[in-house]
Amino acid sequence: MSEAAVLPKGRFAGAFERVRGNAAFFVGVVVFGLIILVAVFAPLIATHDPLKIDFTAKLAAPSTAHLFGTDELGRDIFSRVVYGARTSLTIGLIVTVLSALIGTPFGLVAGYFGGRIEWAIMRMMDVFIAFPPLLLPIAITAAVGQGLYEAMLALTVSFFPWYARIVHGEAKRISGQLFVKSARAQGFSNLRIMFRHVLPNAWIPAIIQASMDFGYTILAAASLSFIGIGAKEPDLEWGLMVALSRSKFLDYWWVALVPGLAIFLTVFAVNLIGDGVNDMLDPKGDSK
Amino acid sequence: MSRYILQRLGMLLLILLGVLVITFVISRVLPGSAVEMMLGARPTEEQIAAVREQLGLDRSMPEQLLLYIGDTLRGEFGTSLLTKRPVLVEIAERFPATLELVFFSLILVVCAGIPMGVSAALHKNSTSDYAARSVSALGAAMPTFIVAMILQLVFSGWLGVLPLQGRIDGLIQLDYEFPTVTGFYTVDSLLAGQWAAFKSCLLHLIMPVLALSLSALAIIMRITRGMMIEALGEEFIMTLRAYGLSPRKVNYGYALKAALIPLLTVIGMTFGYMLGLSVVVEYVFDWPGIGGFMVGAIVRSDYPAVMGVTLVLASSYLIANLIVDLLHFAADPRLR
Repeated sequence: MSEAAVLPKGRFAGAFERVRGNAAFFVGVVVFGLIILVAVFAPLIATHDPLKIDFTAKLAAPSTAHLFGTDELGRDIFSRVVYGARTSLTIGLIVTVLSALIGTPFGLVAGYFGGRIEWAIMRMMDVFIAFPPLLLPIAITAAVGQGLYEAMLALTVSFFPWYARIVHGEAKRISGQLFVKSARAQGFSNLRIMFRHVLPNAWIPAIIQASMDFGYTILAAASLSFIGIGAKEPDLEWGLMVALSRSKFLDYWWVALVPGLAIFLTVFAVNLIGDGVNDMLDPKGDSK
Repeated sequence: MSRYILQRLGMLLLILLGVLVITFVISRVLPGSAVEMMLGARPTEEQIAAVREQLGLDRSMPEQLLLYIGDTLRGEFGTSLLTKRPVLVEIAERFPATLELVFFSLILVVCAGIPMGVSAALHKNSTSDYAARSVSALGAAMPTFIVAMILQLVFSGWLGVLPLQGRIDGLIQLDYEFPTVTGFYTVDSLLAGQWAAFKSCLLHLIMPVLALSLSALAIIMRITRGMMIEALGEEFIMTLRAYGLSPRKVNYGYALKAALIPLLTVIGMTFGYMLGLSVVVEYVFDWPGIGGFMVGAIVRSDYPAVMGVTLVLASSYLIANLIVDLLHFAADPRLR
């Protein structure tokens, strides 16, 4: 039983030494930390009600009254972007965690049992992966309807097979090792061996994948909202804010650019963290 | 060799079948049923029954699935609810525009991304390495629609040097007609010798191609750099160096060759990535391809059109991957 716990510790050993001196990782952590703070304390930071329409002040340029100006309905852009952090972070978190939670058992079962079960599960995952990125979520929202929750569901369906694939590779490798065979010989149930012996050794690549995916999830969700099949008014979502500003974009460009840059900054920070996590946990990093 | 090809073809058909099952589930089984979509609000009982029979919804699920697969394989994608024309015709008219956009972007990404990645790997931590990594970080985090809109703002709005959207200037298209041969406007206008039309097509291509390329460029540069660094660390490279071969020959003659073969797979992936992303780019630039058509179809609940485009894009990606795998097989003696 205890042998399962030993290996991951080995993986983490030296991880923090490896990341020390990785300035990019710390920049990412600081910026992302600030964005989380903004999301959590949005009501305190926002200067206006993000939904309050004021036709007397529509499309105002940035000023002291409205830090980043106002949109075509006179709503304060700064406050809307501040609240938008909540939406984007929530989408990223829920979609990434759900995808990993759904995909991991598929990969685990396929890798552990092998044979026909493995073949069936992995070919099924291949089918999901056969769709060009963004296409499957678009097709799904066409069927289940367009909205924030529908977009999150659609993104989860298109992301989970990647976790199955990654965990499958690890689980297959580990299932062939002696300690798993001896656990079988001792008569432990398959379920117990899978979750207590194989999984603790197989989940690291899924964590790496999740840290790299988080930013992409935010981008994909914003893209869906932008083309009109994700978030809907009055959701406070950055991609939607850009979409709403499109008709008057050439004259009032800041209305689109501020939420656009908010997406960029968040994804940029998350990617820096993802790279750092990859360096920390990827055992292949040692050899380079 | 032939056994591998057969195996690979069999796998392709199997996956294609799976893709059909997924589009079937999306269009027939999930709520928000096709009947509702086709009839709109408050249909009569007879209308519902008629449509159900027309779609075969009165039969059992497996029967419906078989019928659906049969129809689709025969190219019967149904009729667009919006334009009342066969979906296949709509797609056939628009697909060349999408392919032209993706094709030019792929050329740009491969021709710029691979050399930049190689140079970054050969001169680790040099200026070119930092430049490549910065472009890579920027491209990976910048939403494509924002890149597209910034391009529009700068080059159309402020500088006024590039057309805001579309594929060709409408008046020029009327004045300098050219027949459809390949479906690529740039090629067709050149074949017809219509220079003004060709110029207009090129100008219209620049911004969509740049927008579609940036994030793909980031991916391919990063992967090329990684693969090249890995290839440079291989033992046979050290041996070659020890034999006293010039660094130039070792780097470009051997390491690059070893890195390029796996890069084939990456180019295939990039093609698929761009097919998906082209939906967003076409939407912003009002590019008359199937991606923009699909977005319009979703918003107006035009089911058959959405599923038709999904199938065509997914099959294109599958076929591209097949070609890449076969090339990979032909290029890498270790696989034989």
